[in-house]
Amino acid sequence: MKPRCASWAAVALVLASCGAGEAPTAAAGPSLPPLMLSSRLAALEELGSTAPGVPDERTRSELSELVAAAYSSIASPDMQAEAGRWLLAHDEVFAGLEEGLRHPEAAVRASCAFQLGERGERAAVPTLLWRVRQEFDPAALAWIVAALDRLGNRASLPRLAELLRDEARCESALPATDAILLRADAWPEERSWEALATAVEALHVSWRSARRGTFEREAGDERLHARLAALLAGLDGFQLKPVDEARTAFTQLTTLPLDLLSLGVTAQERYLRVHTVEIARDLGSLAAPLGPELLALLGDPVTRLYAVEALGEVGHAEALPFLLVFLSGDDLELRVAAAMALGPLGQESAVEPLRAIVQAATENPDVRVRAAFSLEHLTRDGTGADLLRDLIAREAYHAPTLRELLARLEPGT
Amino acid sequence: MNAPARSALGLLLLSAVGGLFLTLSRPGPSSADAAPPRFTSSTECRACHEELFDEWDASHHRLAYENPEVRRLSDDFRNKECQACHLPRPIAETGLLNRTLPRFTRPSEGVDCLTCHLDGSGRIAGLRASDQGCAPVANADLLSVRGCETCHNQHKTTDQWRASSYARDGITCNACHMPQVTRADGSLGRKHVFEGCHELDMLRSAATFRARREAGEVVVETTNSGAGHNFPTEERHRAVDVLVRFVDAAGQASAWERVWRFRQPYRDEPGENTQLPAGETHVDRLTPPPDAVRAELRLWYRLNPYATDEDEASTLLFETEVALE
Ligand code: HEC
Ligand code: HEC
Ligand code: HEC
Ligand code: HEC
Ligand code: HEC
Repeated sequence: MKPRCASWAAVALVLASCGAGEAPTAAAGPSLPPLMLSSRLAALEELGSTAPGVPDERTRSELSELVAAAYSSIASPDMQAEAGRWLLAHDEVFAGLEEGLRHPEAAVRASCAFQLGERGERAAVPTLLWRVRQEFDPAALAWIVAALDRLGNRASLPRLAELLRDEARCESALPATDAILLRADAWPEERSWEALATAVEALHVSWRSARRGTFEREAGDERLHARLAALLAGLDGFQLKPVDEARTAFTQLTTLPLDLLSLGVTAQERYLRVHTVEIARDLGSLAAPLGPELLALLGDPVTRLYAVEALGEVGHAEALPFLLVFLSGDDLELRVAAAMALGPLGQESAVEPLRAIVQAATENPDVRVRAAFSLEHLTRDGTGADLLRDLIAREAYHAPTLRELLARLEPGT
Repeated sequence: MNAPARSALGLLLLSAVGGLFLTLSRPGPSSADAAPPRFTSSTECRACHEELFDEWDASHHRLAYENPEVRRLSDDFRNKECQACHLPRPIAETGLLNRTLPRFTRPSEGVDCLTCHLDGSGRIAGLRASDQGCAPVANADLLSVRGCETCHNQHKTTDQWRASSYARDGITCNACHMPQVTRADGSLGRKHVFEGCHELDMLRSAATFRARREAGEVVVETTNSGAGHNFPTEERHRAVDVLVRFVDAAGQASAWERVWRFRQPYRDEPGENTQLPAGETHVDRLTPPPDAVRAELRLWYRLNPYATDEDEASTLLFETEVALE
């Protein structure tokens, strides 16, 4: 397929000129912003160096003894009170409480979470968010969610709602739920587990709509910011754990550190760049200010594929002409990525090119399936969805992929 | 593989064959000036490498993107980081030892022929160059341990291998995971099923398990005698357990008790790495109760650490017993 009009041809020229990754030259019609990547790792590590760190071996064992004595159910009440005072007066109390979130005893984990919340330790937010994913004890989980709530982060309230709807586990979640709802003055009239769950969910929804897309550093947030810089630096690697941790944090924060994310998106360090682009994708419209930087990445062969999808999800309208050129180009992977991104991008003028692909039975099936998804996304007229369902019925394309695309078309997702 | 997946692949095959005639209908060996064929799908290889294709079709490499276990843990591949190895673009595209990029095409083909065999210029890479058939070029590096390492070192399998006597003796991954086969047409090749921990004979070949009586104790020895890396090797799920029970003169047996677990703790899981490195032996010394007349011992392999003995994720590798009278 060839570009169909003069301005498309201009875009094609621009893209062709940046095939090897260098910045494109200006030409008639839209052109890509220049690709300006710089080494970022050292700067991030420097920023992160003031983040609360791990104390030395001796202090750590001291702290873990104090934590156990203060919060473990085997200690006597007197001993608990005494150890609690020592712990909270310790210079490294933050590290002790954070480490305590991994203590084998659930009661200890719950108490440490509670204390982090009460003390307003915002720098613990990333760790708490991460623990939500790992915690299996219902009471400890509920207290971790409550601590996050105390620190202004309501990302995990749906997990609490899930607990409240689980007959076997709801009781253990009650005290923490109580704390959250009282603080928000949101106790429901009706006294049922379902009503509690609904109230908790409502808090989450209003929090979500209030999330801000710029990072205005509040007093006391320096440590959180430093922690985030350290986490972001951890993205430049191969190991999944630091990657997962950073992803979990960055996609669920209340105040989005777009300054840091922008460093990641423009980093020369490959993994750092790729992962940050994925974080932007998951943030969707919240990451809209990163649009121009993501657009420049279309000139980068390594990140290009990830950037195409992210541009769609953040809704950066300026990407449209470039995606249309990709859609009709001859790099198959780019065609698929563009077909997939054009729906979420939300621009009417993509409808006709997508429809043409959907109607052409001889089209490459990988491209056609994604075009059907995007067409449906834009028109909601059933044409795209019908094709996806038909392919499932005829077992003519990979069923899990088709089902996933259909699920993403459901309202509310 | 389940039936729907197979038939979906079948349909893809049908559509691919059409394309094949367009690109490969030249008769006889390709002449020097004709462009070598370009491939866009592994299904195209089947026409000439049928038996090998079927081996791969039954492999976990083929399954990598459809594996329900992986789908569950990757949030149905919302996490594209998982896709980078489970549905990868050719390793040559990003270069040996660099993380591969995720692919958006051909989801039923997982880690496919093109992943390992497409070289940087789009030609097929083999050990020998030839102007026949797919006109492969020679690129031994791509097919060496470094090729496997590109994906298989995140759980340190290749590092473990390098630290073992197998690396010193030049016994590569392929020596164990791609044994020689004679195919139906009499040709010699390397098996592409990549058997690992999902295959009983392969699992049994990893270890030896012995027990004896010594000075009032039962001494149990587990040796990694056949895996070219730690046993079990993968870090996140696997576990290998030594179990014992004692039987008294009346034939009453105690409950099975775990005396040792070989496992690399995952992420925040507490504990040390107790995987058994290649060639090493672990010894358990057990004191039997006074009335026991026999000790029974079992070595279990578990795909995940939560699996009970009854679970299909558990495989009984060996059992043995020691008389105590
Ligand atoms: C038209 C038939 C044909 C097709 C299609 C084909 N091959 Fe081949 N291939 C051959 C023949 C014939 C040889 C043996 C060449 C020789 O030994 O001189 C070969 C050799 C090879 C070798 C080299 C083996 C060695 O000794 O090192 C590899 C690797 C290979 N093919 C992979 C592939 C892959 C991967 C595909 C699909 C992407 C494919 N082939 C498609 C016919 C084909
Ligand atoms: C660097 C490449 C790579 C990445 C990235 C990767 N995997 Fe894997 N995965 C492998 C390899 C190689 C194996 C084979 C087992 C082994 O390593 O011992 C595997 C095996 C697995 C298995 C075991 C499958 C079975 O049948 O038992 C699961 C589950 C899994 N991966 C899930 C994931 C998830 C979830 C992610 C993303 C968070 C992921 N993988 C990312 C390379 C990767
Ligand atoms: C592009 C990435 C990639 C490359 C390169 C790669 N593998 Fe794998 N391999 C995987 C993944 C992913 C899995 C897990 C698939 C699953 O079970 O979902 C796997 C699984 C395996 C298994 C386990 C099968 C089982 O039943 O558990 C073996 C053995 C294996 N690979 C050997 C090799 C060898 C040998 C090489 C080099 C010749 C190699 N692999 C190259 C990604 C790769
Ligand atoms: C001496 C033979 C031998 C060599 C050499 C060897 N392996 Fe294995 N491998 C085994 C055996 C036996 C098993 C089954 C036991 C196990 O899972 O630990 C296995 C299992 C595996 C698995 C499945 C792990 C899982 O839990 O999913 C992978 C992946 C694997 N090997 C990759 C490799 C790679 C990569 C190399 C080269 C760096 C290699 N092996 C070298 C014998 C070998
Ligand atoms: C995980 C990587 C991997 C995948 C996937 C893979 N191969 Fe191979 N293949 C190898 C390696 C490594 C060798 C060389 C083994 C040796 O001799 O040491 C090889 C050898 C070969 C050979 C020559 C030996 C023989 O058995 O004839 C052919 C032909 C071949 N591959 C074709 C294919 C085709 C076709 C597919 C897909 C159906 C495929 N390969 C999938 C890694 C792979």
